[in-house]
Amino acid sequence: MAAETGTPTTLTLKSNDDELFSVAESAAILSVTIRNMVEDGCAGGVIPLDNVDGKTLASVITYMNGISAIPADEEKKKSYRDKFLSDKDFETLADMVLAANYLNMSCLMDAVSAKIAQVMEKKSVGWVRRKFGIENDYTPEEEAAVKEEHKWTFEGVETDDDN
Amino acid sequence: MAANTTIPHDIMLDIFSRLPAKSICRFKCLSKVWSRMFSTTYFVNSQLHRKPDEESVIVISRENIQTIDNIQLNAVSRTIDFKPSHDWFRILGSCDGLILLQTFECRVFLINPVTVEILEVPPATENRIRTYKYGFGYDPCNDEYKIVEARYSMPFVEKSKMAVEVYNVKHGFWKRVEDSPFIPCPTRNSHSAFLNGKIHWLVEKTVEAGDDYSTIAAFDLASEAFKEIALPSGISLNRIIWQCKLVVFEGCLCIVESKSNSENDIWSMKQYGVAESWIKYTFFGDFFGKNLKPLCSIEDGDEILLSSLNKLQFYNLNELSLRDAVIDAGPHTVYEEAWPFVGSILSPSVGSRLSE
Repeated sequence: MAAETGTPTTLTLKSNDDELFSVAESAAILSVTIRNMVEDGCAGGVIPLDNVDGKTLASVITYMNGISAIPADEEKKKSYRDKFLSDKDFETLADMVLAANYLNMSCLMDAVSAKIAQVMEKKSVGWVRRKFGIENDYTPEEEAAVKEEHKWTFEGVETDDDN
Repeated sequence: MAANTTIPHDIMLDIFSRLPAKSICRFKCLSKVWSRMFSTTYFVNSQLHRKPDEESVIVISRENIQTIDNIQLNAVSRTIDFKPSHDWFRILGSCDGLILLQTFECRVFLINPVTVEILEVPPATENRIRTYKYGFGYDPCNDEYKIVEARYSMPFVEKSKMAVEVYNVKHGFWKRVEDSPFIPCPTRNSHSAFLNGKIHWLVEKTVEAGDDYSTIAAFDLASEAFKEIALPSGISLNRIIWQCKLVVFEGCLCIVESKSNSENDIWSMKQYGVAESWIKYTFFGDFFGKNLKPLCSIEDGDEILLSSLNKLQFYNLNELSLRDAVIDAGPHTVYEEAWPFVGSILSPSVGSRLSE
């Protein structure tokens, strides 16, 4: 690593749709996946990230740069994460959680998962089925019975906003 | 990526475990597969550890049980209908979203107000009388939920030690354990407070014949034995008998000392078991009746939700002022007793966290 020479090392990351990104090694190694590659000496040229598209990778790099610029202050890091995720829609968050999982970034993973849960909290059953691709294996009668059993939990559900 | 996002199953499960209990119950309608998933011990336990639910309040009156959610903004009440209906008498304890209740006929039930499940607890002895002290909590050493019943003969007639029985909810049986070395306070309320794996009651202890002093009994659910916790030295001992109650507030064991309609002290044991850590807070205001009990603090607001006699009120710690809680956009109805709880999807009949 280049810390000893005083010149920051830059890594080149390649998304699965062939976009190239330059990022400071100190920020990129927030990803355990990338850190392992660097430590194994596989980071000399371009680092291919086969499971992340360019749009998501750009966003993750923004996060890497933002969070690594904050000194060790968990409060400030948390508020940065909250702000970073505040305007993201479900699809972006879903891409982000997959990227965070692939890149092995536990703090981002945790924050994105919590944000998705917050988005889902008041959503309808139909909305969650569509967004997560869940197949309804109930018969209409069975579904009505389960719904009846948990009737009160349908109070205060938001109107679907995705169609 | 859009509609058919392929988030791996384990990540989805982790996301779902961060949802409040109400949302999870609704999502049991997603599919049979997910409904089964939400009932597994693994899932119930991870949701319990995450505690995504905000604090709610359960209130009982003779005719019904209500929960009050969203206390901070637009508080809404919900009446829980159990069939058949019962004449509710009092709340005996609460832990992990389960509430222990007693009816006027002295029947005892464990309920989950979110999943609307109910379990009747069989009587320990043939004659259940109302002067029993109860407690409910979780024993982490044995992974068991337990109900404790301390029985005593009429306290004003004869000061006797309490006979103690423990109901193991997981295995469904009562067991007599060693008698309590304490004698009951002749108090109207028999509030128990569950904290740190122990059930606490205000009691008295006899040093020598006729020489009693007030103290706190702590029944450890794992060892099924009593310990003693010293009262704060500044508390007025002659009030203990009639005007004090024990509660858990903000994670601390607290004694509420009702002095008058306009003044109440709350003693909070900041460090559990450390006698020097008792701190006194005095609440001033026109309390409706003396029977004040703090329920929960309201985030960001420097306010405390409390119940006084049949009324829910907010106390502002900065302005030392009191206002009535607005529920369902209006004044709330009168109830008998209020108790805070955090919703969960734990079933009352399982009796443990980890085993199926």
